[in-house]
Amino acid sequence: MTAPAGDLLQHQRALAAGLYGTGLPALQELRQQSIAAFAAHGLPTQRNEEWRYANLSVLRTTNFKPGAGTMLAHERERILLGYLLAGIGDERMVFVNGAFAPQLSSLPAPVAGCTLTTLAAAAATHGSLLTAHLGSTFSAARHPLAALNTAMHADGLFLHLAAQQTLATPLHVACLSSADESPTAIHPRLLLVLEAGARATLTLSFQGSGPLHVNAVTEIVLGPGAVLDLQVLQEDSAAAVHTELISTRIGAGARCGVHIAALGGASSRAEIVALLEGDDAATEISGLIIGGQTQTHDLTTLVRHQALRTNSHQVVKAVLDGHSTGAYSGRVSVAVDAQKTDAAQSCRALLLSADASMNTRPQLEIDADDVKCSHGATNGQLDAEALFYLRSRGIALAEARMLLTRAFADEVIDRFPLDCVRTHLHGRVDGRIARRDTVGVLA
Amino acid sequence: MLEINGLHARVAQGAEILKGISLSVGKGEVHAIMGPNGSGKSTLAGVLAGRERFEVTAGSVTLDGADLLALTPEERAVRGVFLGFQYPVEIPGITNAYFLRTALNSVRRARGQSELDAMEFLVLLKQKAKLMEMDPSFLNRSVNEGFSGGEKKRNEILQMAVLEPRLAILDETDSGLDIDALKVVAAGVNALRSPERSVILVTHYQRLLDHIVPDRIHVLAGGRMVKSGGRELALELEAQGYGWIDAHAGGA
Ligand SMILES: Nc1ncnc2c1ncn2[C@@H]1O[C@H](COP(=O)(O)OP(=O)(O)OP(=O)(O)O)[C@@H](O)[C@H]1O
Ligand SMILES: [Mg+2]
Repeated sequence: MTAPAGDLLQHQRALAAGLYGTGLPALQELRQQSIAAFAAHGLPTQRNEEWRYANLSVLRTTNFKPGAGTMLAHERERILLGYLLAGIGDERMVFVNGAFAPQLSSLPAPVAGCTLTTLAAAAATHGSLLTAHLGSTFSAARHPLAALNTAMHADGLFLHLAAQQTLATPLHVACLSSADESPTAIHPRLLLVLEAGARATLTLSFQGSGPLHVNAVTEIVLGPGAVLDLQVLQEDSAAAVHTELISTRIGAGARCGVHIAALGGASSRAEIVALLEGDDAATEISGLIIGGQTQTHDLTTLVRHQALRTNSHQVVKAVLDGHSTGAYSGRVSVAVDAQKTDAAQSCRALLLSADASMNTRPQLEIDADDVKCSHGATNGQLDAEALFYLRSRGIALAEARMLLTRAFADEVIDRFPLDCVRTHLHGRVDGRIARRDTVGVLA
Repeated sequence: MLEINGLHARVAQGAEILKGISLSVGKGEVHAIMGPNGSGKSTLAGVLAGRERFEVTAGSVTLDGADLLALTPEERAVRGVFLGFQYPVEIPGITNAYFLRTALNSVRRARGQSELDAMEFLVLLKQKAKLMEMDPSFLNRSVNEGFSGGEKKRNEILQMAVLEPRLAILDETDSGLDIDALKVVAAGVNALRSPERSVILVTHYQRLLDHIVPDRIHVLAGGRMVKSGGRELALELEAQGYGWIDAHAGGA
């Protein structure tokens, strides 16, 4: 065991007794198993093929302490106001350094059949539902950082929609984090369970300041015919390491959209796992990667087609400037009896500087014979002819670059379901191109 | 208005394409440039508009006395230079209307005029599109994406009509147009003609010159202006091709 992983285990031991759910033996056991799995596997290294493009070296050399600190009020307010002005987050749950902040939150009025609360509160009121699903969508051994989250998360969001319920207003879940001076680790956690025919749209955002390790896990369980769209805005601090697992189980005829924008952090890795378990299940994955300076962003997806006529559609676009690197590893596996699978995957990168780079790895493992699978990947620069065309009409070089970059990014931004989120992302992309050398949203 | 003097240009580090071109276009004049394929017509147009792939190795170009070659393409555009592309560029993801509004507002800003908001612009654009007999649906499509050859050329003239340049250089805008479209394009150019504006028409066909009557016709061959004359030159070229000029010019 390397030193920082040892530190992490020490922090976990110190924390364990104070974490929520002590009254739930099943949860206690899950936390135990998870920390054991983490101890056994340790922090993933780049020797591990699935983590090859994730730059997590700082996790090995730095002692990130559990985040319990506070965040300056004006900083919190500035972030939240930014979202509110963008029209995101009229109904919201805010977590500051992993702890629920009721005074900053604005929850919808309670509706029968819709449970929207914290994990800590749900442990008391919906214990069996919580323990039935928490940690059920991924293997701790294969996802050591997610296992660490399971062991150490202090709280999180719990959403349960009974059959045919609809979350009336899109919910914004804001994870605000701050490391005052010393490196701090935060483990945001979401559990979303939608029973048959239920529907919801959520926006999950990450922002903060200082040297952070934000290690998030979102688990999604969709019953037959349920529909969920999750939009993720990763805008963590310029000094942050962001790791994230979004793990979904999708039932018959259900559809799960995961739309993720990786903008912030010094280095980030997001993994999306979609298990298409029921016939006619579908998933749409959208990935927008914006990199500058020396940022690294890794997006890894695994889509398992396990039933008939399942459908997956992935579109990833990366805009990379400075010395940044992007990576997209898209694995699609089609089980032998998952006939009539339709799986499409495309990844395009726009390299704005000669020092930026993109690694794309499609992996198709197809055991069924009646399937339609496609993938495509391209890396390129801004089209010189198009740039000249715009400039020849009087549009200044910087603006021409911005227009073309935006047009490039739009194809994936347009897949984010909420108008306000698309507008917000446009602003972010424009801002990043205009200030070509700045990274991170608060910086 | 435009003075070209002893202009030499090449593709960066490549062979020379323009081998000493001089041309003077006065205010309000229309000049036609004809010449065989590969003679350097588009290169000349590109050099005037500021195409970076060409390198000027000798000579000068001034617009109203100011050194044009020192300016970026966008600076030339806001000073009133417009290039109608021989091969208009497709730009997916940017609508024609948005593109043109951005362009027009850039030009207006540079002229110290107020910018037009989306509504004001739309009114103007619709009026110009009507002039060009263009269906308004083209305005909301991505720039030139999926446009037919003729539609792209019409779109070039629409842009010209909106931007109202002082020097329009139209590189084979008539190529690929049917008779009706040719008339529309010619009407668009003629509508722009004024004592203050000049036009350079690059064309292979004398029929365009029936609709837009030029003041002068020049023949470019092998990177040099080998002949200049009045309208009758176009008719001679149409009848005899370029062979007789090469003989006359003695390979000049
Ligand atoms: N980027 C380039 N690289 C190499 N050669 C070039 C380049 N651009 C132009 N040339 C060459 O310069 C010469 C002149 O080309 P240009 O396009 O100016 O001809 P043109 O007179 O417009 O011909 P056309 O009537 O066919 O349009 C040609 O021989 C062409 O191959
Ligand atoms: Mg040409």
